[in-house]
Amino acid sequence: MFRKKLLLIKLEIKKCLNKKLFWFVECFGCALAAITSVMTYIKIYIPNQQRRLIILEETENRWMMYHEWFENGILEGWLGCNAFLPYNAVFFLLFPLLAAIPYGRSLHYELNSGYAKQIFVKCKRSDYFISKYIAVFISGGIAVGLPLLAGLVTSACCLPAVGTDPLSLRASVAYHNLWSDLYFEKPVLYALMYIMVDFVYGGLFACLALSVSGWCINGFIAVTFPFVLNTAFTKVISVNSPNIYTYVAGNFINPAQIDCSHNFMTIAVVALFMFVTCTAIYWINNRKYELFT
Amino acid sequence: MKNKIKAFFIVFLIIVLAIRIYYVNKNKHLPVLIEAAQGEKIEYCRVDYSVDSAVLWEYDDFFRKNQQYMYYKNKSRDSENTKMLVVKLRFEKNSEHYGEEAYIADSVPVTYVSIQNWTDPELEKAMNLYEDANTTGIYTLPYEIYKEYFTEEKWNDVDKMEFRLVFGTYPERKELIISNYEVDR
Repeated sequence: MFRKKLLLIKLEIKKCLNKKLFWFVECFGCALAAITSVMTYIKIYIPNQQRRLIILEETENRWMMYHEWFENGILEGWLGCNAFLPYNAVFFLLFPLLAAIPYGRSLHYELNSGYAKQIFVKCKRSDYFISKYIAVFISGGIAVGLPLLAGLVTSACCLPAVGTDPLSLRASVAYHNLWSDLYFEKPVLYALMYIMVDFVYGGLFACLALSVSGWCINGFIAVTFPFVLNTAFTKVISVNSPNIYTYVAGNFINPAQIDCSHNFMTIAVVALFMFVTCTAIYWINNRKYELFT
Repeated sequence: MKNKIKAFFIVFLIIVLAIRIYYVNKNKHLPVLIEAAQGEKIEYCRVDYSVDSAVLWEYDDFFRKNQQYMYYKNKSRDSENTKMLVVKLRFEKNSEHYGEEAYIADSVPVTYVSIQNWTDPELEKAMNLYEDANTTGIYTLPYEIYKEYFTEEKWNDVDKMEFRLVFGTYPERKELIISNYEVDR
Protein backbone atom coordinates (compact mmCIF):
# COMPACT_ATOMS: atom_id res chain seq x y z
CA MET A 1 0.00 0.00 0.00
CA PHE A 2 2.72 2.40 1.02
CA ARG A 3 4.74 1.45 -2.05
CA LYS A 4 1.79 2.32 -4.26
CA LYS A 5 1.51 5.75 -2.61
CA LEU A 6 5.22 6.32 -3.09
CA LEU A 7 4.96 5.37 -6.77
CA LEU A 8 2.12 7.83 -7.18
CA ILE A 9 4.13 10.62 -5.58
CA LYS A 10 7.12 9.78 -7.81
CA LEU A 11 4.86 9.88 -10.85
CA GLU A 12 3.48 13.29 -9.90
CA ILE A 13 6.94 14.72 -9.31
CA LYS A 14 8.15 13.29 -12.61
CA LYS A 15 5.21 14.94 -14.37
CA CYS A 16 6.14 18.25 -12.79
CA LEU A 17 9.80 17.98 -13.75
CA ASN A 18 8.86 17.26 -17.36
CA LYS A 19 6.86 20.45 -17.65
CA LYS A 20 8.34 23.29 -19.71
CA LEU A 21 6.93 25.86 -17.30
CA PHE A 22 8.95 24.36 -14.47
CA TRP A 23 12.21 24.72 -16.38
CA PHE A 24 11.24 28.20 -17.55
CA VAL A 25 10.84 29.30 -13.91
CA GLU A 26 14.12 27.61 -12.96
CA CYS A 27 15.98 29.31 -15.82
CA PHE A 28 14.52 32.68 -14.85
CA GLY A 29 15.51 32.29 -11.20
CA CYS A 30 18.97 30.92 -12.02
CA ALA A 31 19.53 33.77 -14.49
CA LEU A 32 18.77 36.33 -11.77
CA ALA A 33 21.13 34.50 -9.39
CA ALA A 34 23.94 34.26 -11.95
CA ILE A 35 23.63 37.91 -12.95
CA THR A 36 23.82 38.97 -9.28
CA SER A 37 27.03 37.00 -8.74
CA VAL A 38 28.66 38.13 -11.97
CA MET A 39 27.72 41.80 -11.46
CA THR A 40 29.09 41.69 -7.91
CA TYR A 41 32.30 40.09 -9.19
CA ILE A 42 32.80 42.67 -11.95
CA LYS A 43 31.58 45.83 -10.22
CA ILE A 44 32.66 45.21 -6.63
CA TYR A 45 35.16 42.36 -6.27
CA ILE A 46 37.61 43.29 -9.05
CA PRO A 47 37.84 47.02 -8.11
CA ASN A 48 38.23 45.96 -4.48
CA GLN A 49 41.17 43.71 -5.35
CA GLN A 50 42.78 46.52 -7.35
CA ARG A 51 42.39 48.78 -4.34
CA ARG A 52 44.05 46.15 -2.17
CA LEU A 53 47.22 46.41 -4.28
CA ILE A 54 47.23 50.21 -3.90
CA ILE A 55 46.85 49.88 -0.14
CA LEU A 56 49.75 47.42 0.04
CA GLU A 57 51.97 50.00 -1.71
CA GLU A 58 50.81 52.78 0.62
CA THR A 59 51.46 50.61 3.67
CA GLU A 60 55.15 51.31 3.11
CA ASN A 61 54.49 54.78 4.49
CA ARG A 62 52.80 53.21 7.57
CA TRP A 63 49.81 55.56 7.26
CA MET A 64 47.13 52.86 7.28
CA MET A 65 43.59 54.20 7.79
CA TYR A 66 40.60 52.56 9.42
CA HIS A 67 38.07 50.34 7.67
CA GLU A 68 40.14 50.83 4.56
CA TRP A 69 40.02 47.40 3.02
CA PHE A 70 37.91 44.30 3.55
CA GLU A 71 37.71 41.06 1.62
CA ASN A 72 34.36 40.48 -0.12
CA GLY A 73 32.36 37.63 1.39
CA ILE A 74 30.32 34.99 -0.42
CA LEU A 75 26.98 36.41 0.72
CA GLU A 76 27.68 39.77 -0.95
CA GLY A 77 27.30 38.08 -4.33
CA TRP A 78 24.42 35.77 -3.38
CA LEU A 79 20.96 36.55 -4.75
CA GLY A 80 19.46 36.06 -1.29
CA CYS A 81 21.59 38.63 0.55
CA ASN A 82 22.63 41.15 -2.10
CA ALA A 83 20.15 43.92 -1.43
CA PHE A 84 22.18 46.51 -3.35
CA LEU A 85 21.24 45.17 -6.78
CA PRO A 86 17.56 45.04 -7.79
CA TYR A 87 17.47 41.28 -8.52
CA ASN A 88 16.93 40.34 -4.88
CA ALA A 89 13.83 42.56 -4.73
CA VAL A 90 12.52 41.20 -8.04
CA PHE A 91 13.01 37.57 -7.03
CA PHE A 92 11.33 37.89 -3.64
CA LEU A 93 8.50 40.00 -5.02
CA LEU A 94 7.75 37.26 -7.58
CA PHE A 95 8.50 34.49 -5.04
CA PRO A 96 4.88 33.23 -4.66
CA LEU A 97 4.33 33.36 -8.42
CA LEU A 98 7.53 31.45 -9.18
CA ALA A 99 6.54 28.81 -6.64
CA ALA A 100 2.97 28.39 -7.95
CA ILE A 101 3.56 28.50 -11.71
CA PRO A 102 5.18 25.07 -12.31
CA TYR A 103 2.52 22.78 -10.83
CA GLY A 104 0.01 24.92 -8.93
CA ARG A 105 -2.81 24.55 -11.42
CA SER A 106 -2.21 20.89 -12.28
CA LEU A 107 -5.14 19.60 -10.23
CA HIS A 108 -7.52 22.10 -11.81
CA TYR A 109 -6.36 21.04 -15.28
CA GLU A 110 -6.47 17.28 -14.56
CA LEU A 111 -9.94 17.39 -13.03
CA ASN A 112 -11.36 19.40 -15.92
CA SER A 113 -9.69 17.35 -18.64
CA GLY A 114 -10.83 14.00 -17.25
CA TYR A 115 -7.30 12.74 -16.60
CA ALA A 116 -8.04 12.51 -12.87
CA LYS A 117 -10.99 10.14 -13.48
CA GLN A 118 -8.62 7.73 -15.20
CA ILE A 119 -6.39 7.83 -12.16
CA PHE A 120 -9.37 7.23 -9.83
CA VAL A 121 -9.93 3.94 -11.63
CA LYS A 122 -6.42 2.76 -10.89
CA CYS A 123 -5.90 3.91 -7.30
CA LYS A 124 -7.62 5.30 -4.23
CA ARG A 125 -8.84 8.87 -4.60
CA SER A 126 -7.31 9.91 -1.31
CA ASP A 127 -3.92 8.63 -2.50
CA TYR A 128 -4.19 10.75 -5.63
CA PHE A 129 -5.06 13.94 -3.76
CA ILE A 130 -2.40 13.40 -1.11
CA SER A 131 0.30 12.65 -3.67
CA LYS A 132 -0.78 15.71 -5.66
CA TYR A 133 -0.46 17.88 -2.54
CA ILE A 134 3.01 16.51 -1.74
CA ALA A 135 4.21 16.87 -5.32
CA VAL A 136 2.98 20.47 -5.54
CA PHE A 137 4.69 21.28 -2.24
CA ILE A 138 7.98 19.80 -3.46
CA SER A 139 7.70 21.48 -6.87
CA GLY A 140 7.06 24.87 -5.27
CA GLY A 141 10.00 24.40 -2.92
CA ILE A 142 12.34 23.37 -5.72
CA ALA A 143 11.13 26.19 -7.97
CA VAL A 144 12.44 28.81 -5.52
CA GLY A 145 15.09 26.81 -3.69
CA LEU A 146 17.08 25.69 -6.72
CA PRO A 147 17.84 29.21 -8.03
CA LEU A 148 18.97 30.25 -4.54
CA LEU A 149 21.21 27.18 -4.33
CA ALA A 150 22.55 27.79 -7.84
CA GLY A 151 23.17 31.41 -6.84
CA LEU A 152 25.17 30.24 -3.84
CA VAL A 153 27.32 28.04 -6.08
CA THR A 154 27.93 30.83 -8.63
CA SER A 155 28.77 33.22 -5.80
CA ALA A 156 31.19 30.62 -4.37
CA CYS A 157 32.90 30.54 -7.78
CA CYS A 158 33.44 34.30 -7.64
CA LEU A 159 33.87 35.22 -3.98
CA PRO A 160 35.59 33.46 -1.06
CA ALA A 161 33.49 31.76 1.60
CA VAL A 162 34.19 34.29 4.33
CA GLY A 163 31.75 36.27 6.42
CA THR A 164 31.15 39.97 5.84
CA ASP A 165 33.14 42.16 8.24
CA PRO A 166 30.78 44.38 10.29
CA LEU A 167 33.23 47.29 9.97
CA SER A 168 32.94 47.20 6.17
CA LEU A 169 29.29 48.41 6.47
CA ARG A 170 28.39 45.99 3.64
CA ALA A 171 26.39 43.60 5.81
CA SER A 172 22.67 43.41 5.07
CA VAL A 173 21.95 41.57 8.32
CA ALA A 174 22.24 43.22 11.72
CA TYR A 175 23.10 41.67 15.08
CA HIS A 176 19.47 41.57 16.23
CA ASN A 177 18.32 39.72 13.10
CA LEU A 178 17.73 35.97 12.84
CA TRP A 179 20.90 33.83 12.73
CA SER A 180 23.16 36.90 12.62
CA ASP A 181 26.01 34.92 14.24
CA LEU A 182 25.93 32.49 11.33
CA TYR A 183 25.79 35.33 8.79
CA PHE A 184 29.05 36.81 10.03
CA GLU A 185 30.91 33.62 10.95
CA LYS A 186 29.49 30.74 8.89
CA PRO A 187 27.93 32.38 5.83
CA VAL A 188 27.43 29.20 3.82
CA LEU A 189 25.50 27.59 6.67
CA TYR A 190 23.38 30.74 6.98
CA ALA A 191 22.56 30.59 3.27
CA LEU A 192 21.69 26.89 3.41
CA MET A 193 19.41 27.34 6.41
CA TYR A 194 17.57 30.21 4.77
CA ILE A 195 17.26 28.19 1.55
CA MET A 196 15.49 25.53 3.65
CA VAL A 197 13.11 28.19 5.01
CA ASP A 198 12.43 29.44 1.46
CA PHE A 199 11.93 25.84 0.27
CA VAL A 200 9.20 25.37 2.86
CA TYR A 201 7.51 28.68 2.07
CA GLY A 202 7.78 28.09 -1.67
CA GLY A 203 6.01 24.79 -1.14
CA LEU A 204 3.33 26.45 0.99
CA PHE A 205 2.64 29.15 -1.60
CA ALA A 206 2.33 26.47 -4.30
CA CYS A 207 -0.06 24.50 -2.06
CA LEU A 208 -2.11 27.66 -1.54
CA ALA A 209 -2.54 27.91 -5.32
CA LEU A 210 -3.47 24.22 -5.44
CA SER A 211 -6.00 24.61 -2.62
CA VAL A 212 -7.87 27.56 -4.10
CA SER A 213 -7.88 26.10 -7.63
CA GLY A 214 -11.17 24.39 -6.75
CA TRP A 215 -12.83 27.81 -6.37
CA CYS A 216 -11.36 29.26 -9.55
CA ILE A 217 -12.87 29.32 -13.00
CA ASN A 218 -9.46 29.02 -14.61
CA GLY A 219 -6.00 28.03 -13.53
CA PHE A 220 -4.51 31.50 -14.09
CA ILE A 221 -6.43 32.90 -11.12
CA ALA A 222 -5.29 30.01 -8.93
CA VAL A 223 -1.64 30.53 -9.86
CA THR A 224 -1.69 34.29 -9.32
CA PHE A 225 -3.73 34.17 -6.11
CA PRO A 226 -0.75 33.61 -3.73
CA PHE A 227 1.19 36.40 -5.43
CA VAL A 228 -1.71 38.87 -5.18
CA LEU A 229 -2.43 37.92 -1.56
CA ASN A 230 1.24 38.17 -0.55
CA THR A 231 1.69 41.53 -2.28
CA ALA A 232 -1.48 42.89 -0.68
CA PHE A 233 -0.26 41.87 2.74
CA THR A 234 3.36 43.00 2.42
CA LYS A 235 2.88 46.25 0.52
CA VAL A 236 -0.49 47.46 1.75
CA ILE A 237 -2.00 45.83 4.83
CA SER A 238 1.10 45.27 6.99
CA VAL A 239 2.53 48.71 6.19
CA ASN A 240 -0.63 50.29 7.62
CA SER A 241 -0.91 47.78 10.47
CA PRO A 242 2.51 47.46 12.15
CA ASN A 243 1.17 44.83 14.56
CA ILE A 244 0.93 42.21 11.85
CA TYR A 245 4.07 43.26 9.97
CA THR A 246 6.31 40.58 11.46
CA TYR A 247 3.72 37.85 10.86
CA VAL A 248 3.44 38.32 7.11
CA ALA A 249 5.32 35.60 5.21
CA GLY A 250 6.40 37.96 2.43
CA ASN A 251 8.38 40.01 4.96
CA PHE A 252 10.59 37.20 6.20
CA ILE A 253 11.28 35.01 3.19
CA ASN A 254 14.10 37.38 2.18
CA PRO A 255 17.46 36.26 3.68
CA ALA A 256 18.68 39.88 3.51
CA GLN A 257 16.17 40.63 6.31
CA ILE A 258 15.92 44.25 5.24
CA ASP A 259 12.29 44.76 6.19
CA CYS A 260 12.21 43.64 9.80
CA SER A 261 13.90 41.60 12.46
CA HIS A 262 12.86 37.97 12.21
CA ASN A 263 12.31 35.33 14.81
CA PHE A 264 12.45 31.60 14.13
CA MET A 265 9.40 30.90 16.27
CA THR A 266 7.36 33.38 14.19
CA ILE A 267 8.55 31.75 10.97
CA ALA A 268 7.65 28.28 12.24
CA VAL A 269 4.23 29.32 13.57
CA VAL A 270 3.26 31.15 10.38
CA ALA A 271 4.39 28.15 8.31
CA LEU A 272 2.25 25.84 10.44
CA PHE A 273 -0.71 28.19 10.14
CA MET A 274 -0.34 28.33 6.35
CA PHE A 275 -0.04 24.54 6.16
CA VAL A 276 -3.16 23.96 8.23
CA THR A 277 -5.13 26.59 6.28
CA CYS A 278 -4.06 25.26 2.87
CA THR A 279 -4.81 21.67 3.89
CA ALA A 280 -8.24 22.62 5.23
CA ILE A 281 -9.17 24.56 2.08
CA TYR A 282 -7.83 21.71 -0.10
CA TRP A 283 -9.94 19.16 1.75
CA ILE A 284 -13.08 21.34 1.67
CA ASN A 285 -12.74 21.97 -2.08
CA ASN A 286 -12.15 18.35 -3.00
CA ARG A 287 -14.32 16.38 -0.59
CA LYS A 288 -17.01 16.20 -3.29
CA TYR A 289 -14.73 13.65 -4.97
CA GLU A 290 -15.28 11.39 -1.97
CA LEU A 291 -11.73 11.52 -0.77
CA PHE A 292 -12.00 8.58 1.55
CA THR A 293 -13.08 6.03 -1.04
CA MET B 1 24.08 6.25 -24.21
CA LYS B 2 22.27 9.53 -23.64
CA ASN B 3 22.20 8.93 -19.88
CA LYS B 4 25.94 8.19 -19.88
CA ILE B 5 26.67 11.47 -21.66
CA LYS B 6 24.43 13.33 -19.19
CA ALA B 7 26.17 11.69 -16.22
CA PHE B 8 29.62 12.47 -17.67
CA PHE B 9 28.65 16.11 -18.22
CA ILE B 10 27.32 16.45 -14.66
CA VAL B 11 30.44 14.93 -13.12
CA PHE B 12 32.66 17.14 -15.30
CA LEU B 13 30.70 20.23 -14.23
CA ILE B 14 30.99 19.31 -10.55
CA ILE B 15 34.76 18.84 -10.87
CA VAL B 16 35.20 22.19 -12.66
CA LEU B 17 33.10 23.98 -10.03
CA ALA B 18 34.99 22.32 -7.18
CA ILE B 19 38.35 23.35 -8.65
CA ARG B 20 37.16 26.92 -9.17
CA ILE B 21 35.74 27.19 -5.60
CA TYR B 22 38.97 25.73 -4.19
CA TYR B 23 41.04 28.24 -6.18
CA VAL B 24 38.93 31.22 -5.06
CA ASN B 25 39.16 30.22 -1.40
CA LYS B 26 42.87 29.49 -1.58
CA ASN B 27 43.53 33.01 -2.88
CA LYS B 28 41.43 34.95 -0.41
CA HIS B 29 43.13 37.89 1.29
CA LEU B 30 42.41 38.11 4.98
CA PRO B 31 44.37 40.41 7.31
CA VAL B 32 46.84 39.19 9.88
CA LEU B 33 45.07 39.55 13.22
CA ILE B 34 47.17 41.03 16.03
CA GLU B 35 45.43 41.13 19.38
CA ALA B 36 46.50 42.71 22.62
CA ALA B 37 44.82 41.94 25.91
CA GLN B 38 43.93 44.69 28.35
CA GLY B 39 47.14 46.24 29.69
CA GLU B 40 49.27 45.19 26.69
CA LYS B 41 50.48 47.61 24.01
CA ILE B 42 49.78 47.88 20.31
CA GLU B 43 51.68 50.05 17.84
CA TYR B 44 49.77 51.87 15.12
CA CYS B 45 51.13 54.64 12.89
CA ARG B 46 54.15 55.30 15.13
CA VAL B 47 52.08 55.52 18.31
CA ASP B 48 51.87 52.86 21.04
CA TYR B 49 48.41 52.37 22.56
CA SER B 50 47.17 50.47 25.60
CA VAL B 51 43.87 50.56 27.49
CA ASP B 52 44.27 52.45 30.75
CA SER B 53 40.67 52.05 31.95
CA ALA B 54 37.12 51.74 30.65
CA VAL B 55 33.71 52.50 32.13
CA LEU B 56 30.30 51.49 30.81
CA TRP B 57 28.00 54.33 31.90
CA GLU B 58 24.26 54.72 31.99
CA TYR B 59 23.71 57.48 29.44
CA ASP B 60 22.05 60.00 31.76
CA ASP B 61 24.51 59.30 34.58
CA PHE B 62 27.50 60.09 32.38
CA PHE B 63 26.22 63.54 31.50
CA ARG B 64 24.98 64.17 35.04
CA LYS B 65 28.47 63.52 36.42
CA ASN B 66 30.20 65.31 33.53
CA GLN B 67 28.11 68.46 33.23
CA GLN B 68 30.77 70.12 31.05
CA TYR B 69 29.77 67.80 28.17
CA MET B 70 26.00 68.26 28.53
CA TYR B 71 25.95 70.25 25.27
CA TYR B 72 26.86 67.07 23.36
CA LYS B 73 24.08 64.94 24.85
CA ASN B 74 21.68 63.55 22.27
CA LYS B 75 18.27 64.87 23.38
CA SER B 76 16.38 61.88 21.93
CA ARG B 77 18.44 59.35 23.91
CA ASP B 78 18.39 58.33 27.56
CA SER B 79 19.48 55.49 29.86
CA GLU B 80 16.55 53.33 28.70
CA ASN B 81 17.92 53.01 25.17
CA THR B 82 21.60 54.02 25.32
CA LYS B 83 24.74 53.27 27.27
CA MET B 84 28.04 55.13 27.06
CA LEU B 85 31.36 53.29 26.91
CA VAL B 86 34.20 55.64 27.84
CA VAL B 87 37.67 54.23 27.14
CA LYS B 88 40.81 55.90 28.41
CA LEU B 89 43.65 55.04 26.06
CA ARG B 90 47.26 55.50 27.11
CA PHE B 91 49.33 56.63 24.14
CA GLU B 92 53.05 57.10 23.59
CA LYS B 93 54.35 58.61 20.38
CA ASN B 94 57.51 57.14 18.84
CA SER B 95 58.40 59.89 16.39
CA GLU B 96 62.09 59.82 17.42
CA HIS B 97 62.28 56.11 16.69
CA TYR B 98 60.69 56.39 13.26
CA GLY B 99 62.13 59.84 12.46
CA GLU B 100 58.82 61.45 11.49
CA GLU B 101 55.82 63.09 13.14
CA ALA B 102 53.29 60.83 14.80
CA TYR B 103 49.59 61.66 15.25
CA ILE B 104 46.99 60.06 17.46
CA ALA B 105 44.56 57.98 15.40
CA ASP B 106 41.16 59.63 15.26
CA SER B 107 37.80 57.89 15.00
CA VAL B 108 38.90 54.49 16.30
CA PRO B 109 35.99 52.07 15.89
CA VAL B 110 34.92 49.68 18.62
CA THR B 111 33.45 46.28 17.79
CA TYR B 112 31.42 44.03 20.08
CA VAL B 113 29.71 40.82 18.95
CA SER B 114 29.01 41.76 15.30
CA ILE B 115 28.29 45.43 15.92
CA GLN B 116 30.57 48.33 15.21
CA ASN B 117 30.55 51.88 16.52
CA TRP B 118 32.54 55.03 16.05
CA THR B 119 32.86 57.90 18.51
CA ASP B 120 30.86 61.11 18.40
CA PRO B 121 33.63 63.25 16.83
CA GLU B 122 32.54 66.47 18.55
CA LEU B 123 32.39 64.90 22.00
CA GLU B 124 35.71 63.17 21.38
CA LYS B 125 37.32 66.48 20.45
CA ALA B 126 35.83 68.19 23.52
CA MET B 127 37.20 65.45 25.80
CA ASN B 128 40.73 65.65 24.30
CA LEU B 129 41.32 69.34 23.62
CA TYR B 130 45.11 69.38 23.85
CA GLU B 131 46.10 65.73 23.96
CA ASP B 132 47.31 65.45 20.39
CA ALA B 133 50.14 67.91 21.03
CA ASN B 134 51.68 65.72 23.76
CA THR B 135 54.13 62.90 23.24
CA THR B 136 52.51 60.78 25.89
CA GLY B 137 49.26 60.91 27.82
CA ILE B 138 45.68 59.64 28.10
CA TYR B 139 43.25 59.91 25.20
CA THR B 140 39.54 59.48 25.93
CA LEU B 141 37.19 57.73 23.51
CA PRO B 142 33.40 57.94 24.11
CA TYR B 143 31.10 55.41 22.38
CA GLU B 144 27.31 55.42 22.44
CA ILE B 145 25.81 51.92 22.49
CA TYR B 146 22.24 51.77 21.23
CA LYS B 147 19.51 49.39 22.33
CA GLU B 148 18.18 49.20 18.74
CA TYR B 149 21.19 47.03 17.79
CA PHE B 150 20.14 44.31 20.25
CA THR B 151 17.22 42.09 21.05
CA GLU B 152 15.59 42.63 24.47
CA GLU B 153 17.41 39.65 26.07
CA LYS B 154 20.81 40.57 24.64
CA TRP B 155 20.47 44.21 25.75
CA ASN B 156 20.32 43.01 29.35
CA ASP B 157 23.69 41.27 28.88
CA VAL B 158 25.51 44.20 27.26
CA ASP B 159 27.58 44.78 30.42
CA LYS B 160 29.04 41.26 30.08
CA MET B 161 30.31 41.80 26.52
CA GLU B 162 33.88 42.04 25.35
CA PHE B 163 34.74 45.19 23.39
CA ARG B 164 37.58 45.55 20.91
CA LEU B 165 39.19 48.72 19.61
CA VAL B 166 40.28 48.25 15.99
CA PHE B 167 43.42 49.92 14.62
CA GLY B 168 43.81 49.29 10.90
CA THR B 169 42.10 46.58 8.89
CA TYR B 170 44.60 45.49 6.20
CA PRO B 171 47.21 43.99 5.87
CA GLU B 172 47.30 43.88 9.66
CA ARG B 173 44.22 44.15 11.83
CA LYS B 174 45.24 45.27 15.30
CA GLU B 175 42.76 44.95 18.13
CA LEU B 176 42.90 46.07 21.73
CA ILE B 177 40.64 43.89 23.85
CA ILE B 178 38.60 45.47 26.63
CA SER B 179 37.29 42.68 28.82
CA ASN B 180 37.71 44.28 32.24
CA TYR B 181 35.68 47.47 32.66
CA GLU B 182 33.72 49.24 35.34
CA VAL B 183 29.95 49.19 35.02
CA ASP B 184 28.06 52.22 36.28
CA ARG B 185 24.76 51.12 37.87
